[in-house]
Amino acid sequence: MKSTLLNMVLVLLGITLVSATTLGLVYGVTKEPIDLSKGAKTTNALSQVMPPFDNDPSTDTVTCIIDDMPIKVYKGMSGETVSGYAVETMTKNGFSGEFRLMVGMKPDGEIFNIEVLQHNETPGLGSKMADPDNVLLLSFQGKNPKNLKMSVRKDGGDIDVITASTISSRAYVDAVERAYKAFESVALGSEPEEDEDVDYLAAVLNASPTSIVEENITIDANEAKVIKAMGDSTVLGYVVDVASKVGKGVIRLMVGFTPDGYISNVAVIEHNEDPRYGALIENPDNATLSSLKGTKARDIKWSFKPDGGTADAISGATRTSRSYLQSIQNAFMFYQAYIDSKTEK
Amino acid sequence: MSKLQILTKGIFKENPSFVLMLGMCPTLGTTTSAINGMGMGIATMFVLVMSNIVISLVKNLVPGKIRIPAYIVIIATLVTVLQLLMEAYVPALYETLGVFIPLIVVNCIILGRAEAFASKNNVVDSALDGLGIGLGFTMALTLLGAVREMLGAGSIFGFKFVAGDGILLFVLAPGAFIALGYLLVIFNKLTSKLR
Amino acid sequence: MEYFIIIIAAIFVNNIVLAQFLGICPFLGVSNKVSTSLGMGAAVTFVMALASLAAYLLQYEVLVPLKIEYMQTIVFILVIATLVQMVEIILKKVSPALYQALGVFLPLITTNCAVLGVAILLVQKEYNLGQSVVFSTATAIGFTLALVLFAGIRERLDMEDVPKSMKGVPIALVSAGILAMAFMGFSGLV
Repeated sequence: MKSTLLNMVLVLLGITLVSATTLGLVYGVTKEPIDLSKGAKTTNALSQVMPPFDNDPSTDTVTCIIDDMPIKVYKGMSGETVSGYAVETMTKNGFSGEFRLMVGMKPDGEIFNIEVLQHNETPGLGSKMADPDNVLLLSFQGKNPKNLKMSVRKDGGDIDVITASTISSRAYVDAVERAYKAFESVALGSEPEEDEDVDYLAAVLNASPTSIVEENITIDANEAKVIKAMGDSTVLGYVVDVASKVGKGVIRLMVGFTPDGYISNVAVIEHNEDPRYGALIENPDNATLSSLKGTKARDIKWSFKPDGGTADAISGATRTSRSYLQSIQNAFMFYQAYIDSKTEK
Repeated sequence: MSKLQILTKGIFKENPSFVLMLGMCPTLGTTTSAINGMGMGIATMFVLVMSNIVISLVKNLVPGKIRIPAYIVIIATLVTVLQLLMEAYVPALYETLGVFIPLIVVNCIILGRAEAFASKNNVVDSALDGLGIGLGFTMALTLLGAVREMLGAGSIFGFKFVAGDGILLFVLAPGAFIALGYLLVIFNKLTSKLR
Repeated sequence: MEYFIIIIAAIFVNNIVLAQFLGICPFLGVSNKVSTSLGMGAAVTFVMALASLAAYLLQYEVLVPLKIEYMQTIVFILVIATLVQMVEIILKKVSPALYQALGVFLPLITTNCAVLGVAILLVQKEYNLGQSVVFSTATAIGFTLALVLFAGIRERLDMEDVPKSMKGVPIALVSAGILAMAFMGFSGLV
């Protein structure tokens, strides 16, 4: 074909169209298997470290922030009883930086199994910690950390070291210790039992309501639930429960407002952000939330401080912070609509 | 050139890794084991055959001046299709090969064959050429992967035959360079003897 | 401080050529003279920094909001190809001498897996805009460093008595391996 301008443009356009259509098709076909295999990976990792369970532990999780790191605790159930816990833990003290472990425990804290999720330790040395039946794992398996001296033998503890890999071994112990701390606060401490939403409500309002009035509000085909929380006959505050389409997917959160429109608290109920970064928004003390808590919602400039806004971004998770901020702004929009509809009467 | 010659030249005479010295990045980066090398080779071969077929089909429709950008879009589309299929159906291999899968787009072998062969020959010949070169590439990668795995980890295709570890250097970066260097020497000596 | 770690890691610890195997073709093909290596390195640095910037913006302002992340490979490679075209045109006008010196290597930057690789990596590592620019520039500096060091070695090797079967590419590969070993020593830095 001759290289006239018309030909060139038409052909390039044609190729691009065909390419885009093909990709769209293949994407549609493969989306489900891809999502399935991603979910299967987590469940597989969980079933390898925990005693057998029949629930979906990835729907029953609590994320604790210990030493500035997100540590996720998964609960495994067998029928109505707890069958065990799996803790996704990490350490920053590895020889080649951070690595992550999945520590599985029986309900009493006895370690069932440990899997190395990801590491960059030296092959043949520190990497041995990922081998089956390595000395680190064997030192922990079947034992309860509360009965162990949690350090390597060199440092006076009970854990055997991988030869010539003291740094990796110490980091491994560090990670397991962190996992146990998370387990303690979740399994042995206080945790939401029955109605999760009611407890979220109290956490977000910083008060326990005696009665609530719920109303669904729809704006532009998006729906949110606005809950008026009453304590006896006074209004304790308002909570907006909304799922917002932002960034990588959806963030569902509850935003609590005081009766005169100040932000009391925010709780993330659900999200599909990247586990390590997104879990930082689950942290009740995260930077974005801290900068908004106690401020009058109407006066908030909904961007980050460097751009003249009111909010702080969470360091190392700018995009996730942005999605988080957008979700809170979305909740405020519904709150405003709700208040406006009440005062118009 | 007979059909058989087209197919087999890619294996020895015009082996992309040992003779043409194309596609070096994945050759060094994905050959930490025989299986990984083979997986990468097969993935690349898929794109190579498909792109040779498609480009041969449209070679008369594409104006000369825009053939490079056009070929790039076609190749990139095929690579993305491969990516999606791999992520869906062989997720373990997809994770191991990592960033090298989308990098197949810039594997000079593919654009090279498109320019050198597919744009000038019919569909069947182009497909055979792609297959031959792809096989040569897969062979080279599997071989290098096997050597590195045997020397470095004491196993072959996951089958351990040595208790403990091998010479770890070979599964790390330097080992890739050194192993390929010596394999090249052996390959050259063999092919010069055959001539 | 964080930027400092990214820079040190990108240039030394995770050197794009010697540790991550990206950019091998120009590494083996262009590095027989120090002067050409410097020129290539400069061109790559320029393209890489710009391409990463464009890739970042496209990824987060277009691909993600429109939920078409699977178009990443195509979009990125088209951006890189376009950028290289533009660099060629600009260079021809602004500095014909440099344009001549780089010759055929300029268009070859398009197929330099390091450029596309860096764009994909900065999305994978979830860097923000500042970190992405620093990361890509530092990576390009690491590339140039590896190239120049290697060119120096090869210039010396050319004058040595190398066994016939190892002359050329084989001895170059083995030397690259030893250079890579040296760089492994940096892994304790960060």
